[in-house]
Amino acid sequence: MRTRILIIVNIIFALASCNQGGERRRNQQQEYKEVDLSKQGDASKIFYRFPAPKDIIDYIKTDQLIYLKDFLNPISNADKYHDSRVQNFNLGVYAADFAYITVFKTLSEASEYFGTIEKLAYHAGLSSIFDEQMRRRVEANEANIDSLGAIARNSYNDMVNYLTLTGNERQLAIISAGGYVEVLYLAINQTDDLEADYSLLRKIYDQRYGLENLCNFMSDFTDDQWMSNLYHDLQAILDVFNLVDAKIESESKATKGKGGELNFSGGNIQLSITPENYAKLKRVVVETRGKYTSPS
Amino acid sequence: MRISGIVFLFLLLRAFSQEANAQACADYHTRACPIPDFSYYYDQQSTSVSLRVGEKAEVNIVVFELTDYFVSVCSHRKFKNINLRILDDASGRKVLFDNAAESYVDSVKFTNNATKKLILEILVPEEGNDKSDTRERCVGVLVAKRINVDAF
Repeated sequence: MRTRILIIVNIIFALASCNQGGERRRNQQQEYKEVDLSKQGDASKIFYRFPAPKDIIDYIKTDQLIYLKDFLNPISNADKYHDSRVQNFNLGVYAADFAYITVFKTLSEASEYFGTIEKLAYHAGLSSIFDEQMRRRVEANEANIDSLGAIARNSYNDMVNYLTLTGNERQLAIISAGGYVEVLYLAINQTDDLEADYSLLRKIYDQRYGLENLCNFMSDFTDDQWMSNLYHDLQAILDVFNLVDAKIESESKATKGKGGELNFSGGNIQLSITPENYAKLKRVVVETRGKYTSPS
Repeated sequence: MRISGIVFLFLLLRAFSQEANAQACADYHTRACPIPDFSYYYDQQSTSVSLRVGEKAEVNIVVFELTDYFVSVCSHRKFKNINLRILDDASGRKVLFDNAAESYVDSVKFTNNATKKLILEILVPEEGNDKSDTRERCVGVLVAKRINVDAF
């Protein structure tokens, strides 16, 4: 009897812990007092986040960037991926291709690529995100680049939130890896002229930050050989990025504007990108992309 | 045997409840954090964590140059203060913003001039919060962005 009571108490306690109902925004009105926060919270929970493919393409896009259809992953490949992890990786690849298409306003391919995403999303258990209704929205907005861009952005965000909420962060890591590799592949094939396209190159090399965060995020899931290989392939790209001599030009500082908004200035990093390093980066990105997108 | 069984069951339920709590928090920021005006886009680097009073989390994000950002924090009503600090990773974790100096405001807007890694440090301080409260509760961090119009 006593044992039963203890069990019931435990169950009630556990369920109560789950209850996060009744939440609302916190009270903002607090009196300010000096407090030494450095003495609190020594143990940190550390999380790594990284930009979405659409955000990276929006950032990289300059006047120098041109639309290269031949570098997209052909949609005919989608049916040839049979391993679920490869399907997930290529879901990220096609999501990046779709974002690339919408950024470059090549509307004719948008619907086809979305159809491919929908197909792989079904295999990945994500058909609730990339569903028939969304496909109809894509088709209805084929002539509206702003709407297509919003669909690309929102559907990817919905997918990230869904995978996080359902505890499928391992799957999210694989899809994100596909997105990163594809964005780098599309960008790096744009130029070989280091001097003329320094602005573009710098933006490509800026992606080392997101890739570093992705590698740290993925490091929790390297307990099987396939994931470990993928992690090391991404790390190999990151290693080439990090070979470049980087010099901080000025220290970061924050200044407050008239409207109360902050301006974070400084922290610019001057990169000395050599032809050898760029060639090496290009090679490792192309090899990695080929390894995971070539049909088995 | 019976006692060890009870202990095992207790630990199992505790582990389950903590996992469920963390999972329940996963999209907390989408439900509870202050949002900016419509000119900003939601950034997938937004996240939610599960914290106790005195605990701290670090969310490593990437911010792009010539972009305006909006960062807000939100939490369970039992937490009265959430300390948000923005640190620059490359500059030896230099503090660029600390809401403790601004009455723990729940949001901040900033324009960023160079692409960099930032650390969003989230602390549930003992200051203003119930120190005897040992429960983990949801804390959300919402990140939104827009192209800086002055850049063009």
